[in-house]
Amino acid sequence: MNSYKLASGIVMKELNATLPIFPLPVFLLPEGVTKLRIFEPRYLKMVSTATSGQGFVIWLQDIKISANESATSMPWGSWVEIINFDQGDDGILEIDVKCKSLVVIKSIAHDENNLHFGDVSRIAHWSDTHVNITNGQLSRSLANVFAENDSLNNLYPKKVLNDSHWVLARWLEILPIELNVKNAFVVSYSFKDAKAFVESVILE
Amino acid sequence: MQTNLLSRPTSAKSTSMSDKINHPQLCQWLESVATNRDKVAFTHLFHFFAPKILRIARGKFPNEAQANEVVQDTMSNVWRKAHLFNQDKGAATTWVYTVMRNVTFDMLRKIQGNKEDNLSDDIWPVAEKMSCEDEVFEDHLANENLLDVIEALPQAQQDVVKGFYFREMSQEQLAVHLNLPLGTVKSRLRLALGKLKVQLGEQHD
Amino acid sequence: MINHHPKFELIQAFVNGDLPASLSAGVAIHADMCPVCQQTIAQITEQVAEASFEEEYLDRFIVDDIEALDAVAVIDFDHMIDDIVESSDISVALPKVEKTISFNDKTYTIPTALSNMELGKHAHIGKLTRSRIQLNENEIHTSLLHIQPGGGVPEHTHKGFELTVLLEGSFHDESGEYVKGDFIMLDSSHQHHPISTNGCLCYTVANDALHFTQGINKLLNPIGSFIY
Repeated sequence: MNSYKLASGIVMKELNATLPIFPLPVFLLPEGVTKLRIFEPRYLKMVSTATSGQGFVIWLQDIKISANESATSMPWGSWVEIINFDQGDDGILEIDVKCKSLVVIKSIAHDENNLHFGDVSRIAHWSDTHVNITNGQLSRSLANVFAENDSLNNLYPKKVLNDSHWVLARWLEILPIELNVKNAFVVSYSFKDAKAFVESVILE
Repeated sequence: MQTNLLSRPTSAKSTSMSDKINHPQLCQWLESVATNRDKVAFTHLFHFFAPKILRIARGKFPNEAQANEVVQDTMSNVWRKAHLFNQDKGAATTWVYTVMRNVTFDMLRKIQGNKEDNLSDDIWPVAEKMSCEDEVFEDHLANENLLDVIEALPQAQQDVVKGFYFREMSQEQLAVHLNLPLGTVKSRLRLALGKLKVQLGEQHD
Repeated sequence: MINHHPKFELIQAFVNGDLPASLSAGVAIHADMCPVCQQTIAQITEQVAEASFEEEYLDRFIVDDIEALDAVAVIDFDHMIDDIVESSDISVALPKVEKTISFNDKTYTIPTALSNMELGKHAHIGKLTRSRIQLNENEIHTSLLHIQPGGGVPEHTHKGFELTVLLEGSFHDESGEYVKGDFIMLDSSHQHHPISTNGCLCYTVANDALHFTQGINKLLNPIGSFIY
């Protein structure tokens, strides 16, 4: 555990579990929701297991996150639950998943279908605590993004726009920045860093 | 609230209405508001309905401000829509009840469902009573704002997102959103990333 | 001839404004086509309205109005009146704009109750086409479902309820034939297998709170969830 680079403020929590792991280039913080299209048989199987169990973990994978970087930084994932599913025009299963919390992945095993399972522990991140402070402009600007994008808007029936952590987390998810930078907002940077970053892009 | 039957006759104001609701009087006030924008008639209506609406709203909304909003919205709809009341089609109480129920329904939906779509007037038209068979739904009220929104929702936009799910903005989208030139947005992103690297250096070197 | 109507309790809840938008619209669509229920709704509304504005009176007839207002209101009623009458705005009744929707080259008029609801994209399976109505009611799903002639819905059950209001055409199942205007409310004790010989368009509402707890089969064959 000492080899992980943890940003100050990240603490291990009690909960341990073995969960399916889904490697995806998707950055999701607690309370974040995204739609996924599932077509590979092994992931269909995983989804069906996940619905009767405790969900699964999206492990942020991207070519930009280089091998040596992931060796030194913490392998973390977004523990999600399936909140809705539907079928696309083309008949492909679409699921909406919502992040419950972040987890650290301690070990990974494969089963006969080449499905990954990981031993995980929950970690705390600023984005899973709630702070009811209206951060005016960031909230308003985010509200506009929702209003302008139906498909995003529909994912969030409940928008906690008066929670500065919630607002900031959603901004980090949707801003056009490389995934390795987003990754760093979990493993390296604090809430303050993240806030300063988003503000300098959105406000100024 | 404590009730005291004996004191009833002494309360001239509240007994003036007598046991039964004075329907012709309510109708006359409503007509007067509709045709003359009569503020005195409206004040009478307000004093009759507002406390009752407040009481009912409190049963549905624990939050005092929301209950007050029901009163405010209902009575302001009565003021603005009085001309849609048709006394041949039913009692004034029925019409005001419809207005109140619709305001309440839309507000509850807004609070619970997080959707502000004001569907009530389509479900329970305020302009016509439902008992007139041929004309049902004929002349319903439409919420102008909502109509704008619905009309403005372009099909093209839905087509573009088909098969693509919003996960991240493009730099172009961000530029449009911030109402800035693309170049400015790109340099802002670069600067912001630069600052991050400096901080990281300070922390870990 | 319409044979299936909402039961009395449902109409009462409709009048009280206690039903979710999906079911309220279902009752309104039915009543639009059913003079009998229209009449019932009108009567109940009149009674409820009368009771609403009378009961309160009985409840507090001891005090005079001004005092009562002061006692119950933290808001300033006089100020509210001034505020309201200051506006000279009048809400005009816009002419009804008829909205239509097409399924497989057939065009249908959208019921007034649905005219401001947001319709989702069409999704197809065989002879079925579904368009979700975006009401954001969590586990309650509302849709327009079109069945082409000869099409049917595979046998299924639902946790919770399943409402179908026939907007056009007809279908039949084990219990008989259903026609335009019918209001068909089923619960989890019903299992059915509707077939439409000549095609139909339905408004459907289903609540499926246990959507994801029914195991692999349900999920890998999400036909029931697709339809309702």
